[in-house]
Amino acid sequence: MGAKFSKKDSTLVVKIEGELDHHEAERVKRAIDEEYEKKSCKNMIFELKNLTFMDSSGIGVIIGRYKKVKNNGGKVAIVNANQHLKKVIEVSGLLRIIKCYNSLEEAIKDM
Amino acid sequence: MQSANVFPYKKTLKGKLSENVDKGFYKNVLNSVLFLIFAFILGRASISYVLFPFGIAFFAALVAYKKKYFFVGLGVWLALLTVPGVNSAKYLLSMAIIFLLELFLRVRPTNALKASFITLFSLFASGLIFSYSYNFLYFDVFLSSYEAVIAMLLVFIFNHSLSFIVNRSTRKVISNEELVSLGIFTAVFILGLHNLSIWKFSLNSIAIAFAVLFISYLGGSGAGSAIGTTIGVLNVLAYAEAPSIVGVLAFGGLLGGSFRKLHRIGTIAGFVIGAAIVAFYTGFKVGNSLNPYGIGLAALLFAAFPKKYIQEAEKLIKGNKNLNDRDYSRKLKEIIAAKLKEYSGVFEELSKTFKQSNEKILDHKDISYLFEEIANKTCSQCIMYKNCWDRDFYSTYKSMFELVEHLEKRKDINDNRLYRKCIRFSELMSTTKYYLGIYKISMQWRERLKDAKGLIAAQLKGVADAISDIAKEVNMNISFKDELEQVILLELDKNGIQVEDVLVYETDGGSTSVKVYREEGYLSKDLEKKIASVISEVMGERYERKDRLYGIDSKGRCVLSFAKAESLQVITGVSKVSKAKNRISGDTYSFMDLNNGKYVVALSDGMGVGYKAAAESTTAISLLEKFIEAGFDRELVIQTLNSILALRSAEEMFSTVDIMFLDKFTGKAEFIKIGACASYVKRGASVEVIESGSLPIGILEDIEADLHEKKLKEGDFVILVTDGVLECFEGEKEMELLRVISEADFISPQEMADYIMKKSLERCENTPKDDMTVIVAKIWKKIYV
Repeated sequence: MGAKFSKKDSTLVVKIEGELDHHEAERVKRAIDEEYEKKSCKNMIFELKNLTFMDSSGIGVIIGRYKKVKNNGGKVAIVNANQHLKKVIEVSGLLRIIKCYNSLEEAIKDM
Repeated sequence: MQSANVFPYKKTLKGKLSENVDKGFYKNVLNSVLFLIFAFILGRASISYVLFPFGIAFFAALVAYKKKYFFVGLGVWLALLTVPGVNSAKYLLSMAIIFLLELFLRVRPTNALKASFITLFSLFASGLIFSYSYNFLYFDVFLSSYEAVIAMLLVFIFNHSLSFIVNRSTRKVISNEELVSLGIFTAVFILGLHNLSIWKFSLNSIAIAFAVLFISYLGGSGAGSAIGTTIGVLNVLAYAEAPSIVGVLAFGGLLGGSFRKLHRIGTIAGFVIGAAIVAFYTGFKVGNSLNPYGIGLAALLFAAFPKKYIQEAEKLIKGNKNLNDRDYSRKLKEIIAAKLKEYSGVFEELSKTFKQSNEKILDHKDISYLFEEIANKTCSQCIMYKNCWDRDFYSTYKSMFELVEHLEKRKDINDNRLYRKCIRFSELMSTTKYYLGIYKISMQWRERLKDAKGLIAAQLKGVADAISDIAKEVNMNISFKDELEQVILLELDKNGIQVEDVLVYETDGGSTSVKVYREEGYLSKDLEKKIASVISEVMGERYERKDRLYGIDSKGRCVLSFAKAESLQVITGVSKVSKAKNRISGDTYSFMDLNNGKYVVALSDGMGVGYKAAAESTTAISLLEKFIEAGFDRELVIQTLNSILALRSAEEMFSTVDIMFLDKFTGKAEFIKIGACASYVKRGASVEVIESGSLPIGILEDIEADLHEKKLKEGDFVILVTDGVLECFEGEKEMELLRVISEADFISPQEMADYIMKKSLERCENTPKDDMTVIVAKIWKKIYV
């Protein structure tokens, strides 16, 4: 459970695992923001391969990050979301502002 | 080349001018001939063949109007010569005095008072002079003063009618004074036709019959009998006719007017019958003023009279009615609308000022201020200070820029001059990082402030639009349907229903409303149904009562309003479960009827669960309700809602909003989805999914709502759910839910909602992952008993 971070060039890669519901959301959100500031990154990629569940709070986390990154002049991408997550992301309209990729390399190349 | 360009233009101008001159000349001649004829006929009119004030008064009024018409005096004089035993010299003298006085005193058309006093004086003076020459009798003095006073009054009347007669082709509206003046002018004109006849047709009879027919046709029985009475009495007074003529003409006008619905033939028949009845009763003693040949010819003339002129006269009289009745309210409406438009303009302007003040966020001044702070903190105590910030200022400044860029955009630090040169680089770096952080935060707040300003601008624009809509509504043309009102009143009365008044009006939108005024507001269900059915029968469409409570108007009467009935109605059932027991649900819903025959169902899911989510979704729904009820534009409602919700909390909260509008007349439904999950429309066993992928509300600056349209029918179910319901299912969630819905077979929407909720909970072992709400709206055909 929780989020792991790594940095590729100016991009922060956020690996979220387990379930992202409203309990987790607050903690994950703070951790991401801290890391983004500390590593002074520009772009952000969400790696969701091991995320099994996400509800509206999770969408909130992603949209909130999107807002922040966009203000900083960066881009946000989502990588490796499973079928269920893809549906949630699609329904919530996130696809209108954030691109989904099948591999990390692809996403980084497109940044 | 240049002159060639100019020439044709001049030519056309010249052509036009001469045409205008031709027209003016033609009009002048026509008017002159007309006035000469009028003068001759009015000049013949007399009181008991002794006094002839009419021609003199016409002359005085006409000369006051335009001096060049003095030649009509000739017409008056000639007319007097045709009547035996008249002292035409006296009148010639008085006309000469009038002309001279009016010429020297420069009497203008607006100076009717001056002209009338001149007439009084002239006629009286010439009367005295001539009566002195025949032995000065008191009787003569009395007659002269009588004649002079009558002439004086007539100058006023003729003055009023002249401006209409001269501009007859361009006038569209006629005032009351002019109408009365024209009536008297016509009556006097008819007097002047006395004893004139062509073969067997007495001109007098023709004119009298024609006037009564014409007026009773235009104005109805009231106006018809009025004009008949007036002409009759004048004839009796002037020529001592048998008084029965008054009755003949009045009753003729009365019947003629009441038959005017049967067109001109009806009016003619009515007049002839009415006149004949009275004439028969009084033994046909109608004197010279009326003879059957004249009446016959008048009837023929009236039947053959060009329709165009009758319509024009009708318009003129109607215009006069409107002028009196509705002018004030219309003008007031226009003024209010104009005022509202102005207010709207003010708000629009305010909105613009807020939009313009969106200043640039990043300023060069801010950056130099930032560097100054950093230098103060780290460099002021450094021994190299002078070296870096005095001698090498520009290169240091540039390096600082590069340092910031490095921090921001990860520029390579190795070739930075400060990195290589600065002796306290690590301290400089950390200070820079620190201040840059502060700088960024302040930037964020400025950004937020900018958002807020944008919101204010948007709201001011919204207010401006709303006010301008109100202005439109105020200025709306409401047309009243008098004839339908009459029919409804009559039908209600036939059914034994007592009402005070009925108002039927159509607004610009094309919808017709019926208002019924009663003394008593309470209405039993039976009576209400009876009234509704009477109105429906008359209107040809089903009408029903729209207000639950009656209103009371300014006169203390109770007002019931009826409007066209919608063909559909909606019943809504709701089932709700919170994620955790005993906790408030984060979902909020609403459904209501709107004024314009629309029905709205709205469902909002606040992010998360519990109180915070509930507060978010409740705000969204209650704002939505207010905005929609106030009639704001849909697009603007959603934008404003978004801005307000975004600004409300610093945290990343958002809500989804799912709205359905149903037009209950046509069955057209609109689905608006903002981050909401799919809805379902169930028709029989088949279920249609209405899906969208739009962003939720209240988090980003701009949002776009997804709009889907669908035509609904009687018996359709519309099912709106929050995502908590979908989360109960595994795998293809939408398909699973769809299967549940298609299997459900209920009549009542509430049972349907309960069933869907039960089935969904079964799938997740009664432990919901999120707040769940199911709303089911069923469309019914309205049934009337």
